[in-house]
Amino acid sequence: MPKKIQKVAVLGAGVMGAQIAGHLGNAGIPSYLFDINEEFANKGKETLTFLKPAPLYKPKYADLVTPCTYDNDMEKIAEVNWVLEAVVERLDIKESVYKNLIPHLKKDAILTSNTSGIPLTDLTETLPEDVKTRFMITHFFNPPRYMQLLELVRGEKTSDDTYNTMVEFGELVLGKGIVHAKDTPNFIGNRIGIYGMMTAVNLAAEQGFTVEEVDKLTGTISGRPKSATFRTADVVGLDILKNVSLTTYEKALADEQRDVFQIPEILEKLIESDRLGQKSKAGFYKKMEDRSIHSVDFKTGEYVPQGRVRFDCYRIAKDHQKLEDKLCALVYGDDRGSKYFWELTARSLIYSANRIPEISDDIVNIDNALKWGFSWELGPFEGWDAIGVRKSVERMKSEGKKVPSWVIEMLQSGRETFYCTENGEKTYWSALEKHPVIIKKNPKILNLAIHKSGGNRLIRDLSASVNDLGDGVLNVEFHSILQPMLHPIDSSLIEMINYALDLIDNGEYKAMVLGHQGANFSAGANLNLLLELSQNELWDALDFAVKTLQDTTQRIRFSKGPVVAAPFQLALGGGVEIVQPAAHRVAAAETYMGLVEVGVGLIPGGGGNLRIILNALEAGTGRMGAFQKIQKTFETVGFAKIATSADEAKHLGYLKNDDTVVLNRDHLIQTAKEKALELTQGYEPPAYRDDLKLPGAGGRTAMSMALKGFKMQGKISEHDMKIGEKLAYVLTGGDNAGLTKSVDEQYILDIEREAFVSLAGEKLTQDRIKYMLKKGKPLRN
Amino acid sequence: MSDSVIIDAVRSPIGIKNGNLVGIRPDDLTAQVVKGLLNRNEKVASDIIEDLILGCAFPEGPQGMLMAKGVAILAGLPETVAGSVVNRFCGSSMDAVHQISARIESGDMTVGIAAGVEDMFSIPMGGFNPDFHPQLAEQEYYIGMGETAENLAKDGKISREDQEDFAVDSHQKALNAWANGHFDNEIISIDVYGETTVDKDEGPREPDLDKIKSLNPAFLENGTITPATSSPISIGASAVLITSRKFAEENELTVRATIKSRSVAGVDWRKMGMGPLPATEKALKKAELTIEDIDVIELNEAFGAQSLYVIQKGNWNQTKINLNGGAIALGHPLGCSGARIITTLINVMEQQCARTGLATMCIGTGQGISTILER
Repeated sequence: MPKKIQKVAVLGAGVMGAQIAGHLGNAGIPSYLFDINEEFANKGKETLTFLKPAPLYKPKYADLVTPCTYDNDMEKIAEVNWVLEAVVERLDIKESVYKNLIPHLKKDAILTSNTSGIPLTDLTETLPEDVKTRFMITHFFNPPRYMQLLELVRGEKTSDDTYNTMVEFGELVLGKGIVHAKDTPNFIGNRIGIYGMMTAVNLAAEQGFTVEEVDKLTGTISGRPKSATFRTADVVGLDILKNVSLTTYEKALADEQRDVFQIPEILEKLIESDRLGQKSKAGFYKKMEDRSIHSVDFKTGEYVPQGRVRFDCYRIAKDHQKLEDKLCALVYGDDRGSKYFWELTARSLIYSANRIPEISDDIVNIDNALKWGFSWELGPFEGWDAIGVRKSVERMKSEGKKVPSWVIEMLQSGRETFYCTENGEKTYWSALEKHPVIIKKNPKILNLAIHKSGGNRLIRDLSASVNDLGDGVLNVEFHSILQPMLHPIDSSLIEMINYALDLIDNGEYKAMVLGHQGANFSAGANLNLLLELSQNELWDALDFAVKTLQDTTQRIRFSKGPVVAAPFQLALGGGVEIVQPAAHRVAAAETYMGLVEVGVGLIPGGGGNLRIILNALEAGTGRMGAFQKIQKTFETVGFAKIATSADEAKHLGYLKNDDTVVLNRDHLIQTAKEKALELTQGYEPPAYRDDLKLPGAGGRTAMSMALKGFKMQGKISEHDMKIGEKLAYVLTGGDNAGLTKSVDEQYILDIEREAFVSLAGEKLTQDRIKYMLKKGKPLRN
Repeated sequence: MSDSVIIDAVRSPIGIKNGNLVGIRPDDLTAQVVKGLLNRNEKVASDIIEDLILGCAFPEGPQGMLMAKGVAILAGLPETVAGSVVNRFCGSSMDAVHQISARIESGDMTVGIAAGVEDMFSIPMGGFNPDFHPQLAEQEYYIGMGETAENLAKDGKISREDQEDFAVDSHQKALNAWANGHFDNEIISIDVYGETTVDKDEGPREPDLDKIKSLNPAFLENGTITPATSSPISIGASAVLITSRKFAEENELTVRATIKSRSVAGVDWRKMGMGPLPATEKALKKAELTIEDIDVIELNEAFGAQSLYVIQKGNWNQTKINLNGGAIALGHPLGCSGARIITTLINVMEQQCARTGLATMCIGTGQGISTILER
């Protein structure tokens, strides 16, 4: 951990500056947030608490941001190790800001700019020589808490020490994915990302596509964010899009596709009429008075109701589970949609390949930039691998497209893909060296795909595998066959966990890491199965399935060697229940955890009640008695609260206070492995608790009063009340608890299971499950 | 049998949510009020005080461990002073006044302090560890206070508008009382650990009519009661110095009021807010008075609807009631309120040159309590 940067000054309290200061707060780093007057500086800090999505893990972290003004607080610059400039994109203004701060700058402090458009060589022109060695560009993406990308650009004079400090700080402390960029217009992410957007607009006009048609093809179906092309543009702001695009147009004079960056007519039209996207409530899309969302007609610039979008290629792609197959279906179909998508893809791939060595010497940084900065699931070259390089190149050639020579050289060498993972190594094709190069391993990152290719997989089942991570540590990795993005808990997964636990209990391995590197940790139970069993009244089978999950969670808890769970992104319901019994948790800062069963008319069934009771009773919460602690958990589970960060999950009692939180999600498995090894030293499983003091019937009656109050206020339904009563029954310790009595773990599990199965038999609960499966959101009934 | 007389009565300012009093320990707060009371009455030597009876609705946590004796020690009273805590929910400290005065009248003692306190921010209503009897729950014994007031509103056909007018009135009367110095003689300013000094009630404010009308019902989906027409969660303490008339005369003490009669009465807990009606009827009977004979009234404003119900059913003259505002504006720190309204009543009687005064309040679980004073 670099000790060098302990305090930071952020210059410019605009949207980016303020949020970067906020994210420093997330990382526990205090900062001074400067602007020209108190009003702007204060406003910058204030936005941190109400901006959506929230820039802070917890509102309290805003306390680490101190608003300052250039006139009054310049001497504070002397306290900081890093000055990040994020002022308006004008060279003269930036120069004057630098000039004023340099007299105060510590001798070893680093100065960086968050510019995206001004060349580093211009920025450093007026800097003193000794500052030039400590100057570089650190380009964050909006919103900085959520976008993993941090592009770093060094100048000729930038010292290794400066550059390496920022690499380490960005990766370890801020949790960013570092992309090494060159001093070229818009660096990597925006250069290629904006090319794709502009091409999408131009092609749409050429081929007569509507806004919604383009978004259907360029959204989740093709591994891009849900907001696809035009909704992303609206969110970013069309004026910003225009400025970024023009930067390339004006500065990248040798770009063979320079004209693409000219502003298309429709974009000009929208901007002229002050339709800048989300911030002006109209852009490519507009929410009309009747709340329906219309899209702009490319020809007229007027809003029209969205048409129904139907493409055969989309329909076929949707039936595939794997992104590779979906992309092939989209690219190689023969309908109108496929023609558009192929053309867009081919142009983007060729453009990306042609940018080497201009913007990067290798393909890895390009792919990383698009994945981390634009939330693409696959970078351009990974996507190219997915659709088959040879096949697509043949087609490009047959259509008269000019394929970059280095790509053809790779194929001629006999290599079929840009990337290749085998024997525990991942290689990429180096365009410049014309041969494969091994990607250097980062000691903080244990990449499961690469690791497994070295023969470290012990067993593979349908939805999970058991891997050997080395040093006696096992890994149970999820790869759901049912829902590859959400990894619901299924019998295959349970079986693999038990397989690994057997290996630990019989002494073959010392510890286990429960985690993987997919999109989400686990979104909970397999609702389809649950509904099927309930509707067919197979109560014994349902009870057995729930009992199996409960038993597995208890096995995780009492495993002879420590189990460390590594949740990230969504961890809901059953996903929480397999995380909580572990000896320790290493959670990504961006973990969205919740026992959300009430939303589908149930209560937690896989030990979730027991875990949250244990967490509540064990947490040191001052004067709170058992009743209040349980009442708090009752509200958390009863309202199906989802934590918006790992820190909030601690507050809600889903995680424990001493659990590890890691800002860089890519570090999760390695950190969890290290933690597991640390715990193996003299490890003793926890003692079975038979001394749980819970409020019992008296406390439960008090909670019922509260439920009744909610019902009277119209806040909850009759069925909510029934679920609430069951939940209160379990959380207060059923019939065996009370002020003078204790209950044990198994009793809680038993009454939890009984309540779960009985609720599953309710028609209103089944309606909720059906609705969730169909619409993906909870039904209130 | 000797008369019991009130020599003096004081209270702290009442603090509300996010106010400056939040954070002070309830025992420290009460000790300052008791100390303030004795400082004003130097003729009463502290070693002559026999007992300190402290009303408190949720005597647990920082209000636990027989807080009365702890308060006596913190207030610097000699160890010879005894102490007890009395709980009659909202009527707690009025009950303390009743106990001290009754013991003086019976001849068991000569000088005592009746006090009251509640810190509703540290101790949740219902206490830290509620444990309810299922059978009583079945009979709605634990009914929410808001719900009981909704029952009265329905029973008495009291509209939301009438309740809002009543609440607005309460705030304006309290603001006027402060502006005219009508509270000056009853307030002991409170030092919050050297950080701030609080010398004014935090609740009363210029009513924002648009906001009041925009609020959602607080207890019932289609109900009439909102936060604006309910007494706010609050913190405060009060204390009353009571002696026998004989002691007062011998020591040349000025008697501010005589305790004429006391009473309690039980009612349907689902309509607990009507408690003041039967309790007052009893108290009037004992004092051989009718409601018309009463010059001024302090009727504790638990809810606007509840107050209006009592006024309507008892056919009370609204112009005599709560002349300096009530709990909707000032706050209702449960255990403090009984001695608080007696304190305010004495000041109102003096300000209005009134001869008889009534202090009365409703009590959760279905009770009423009343005190008639004379000067």
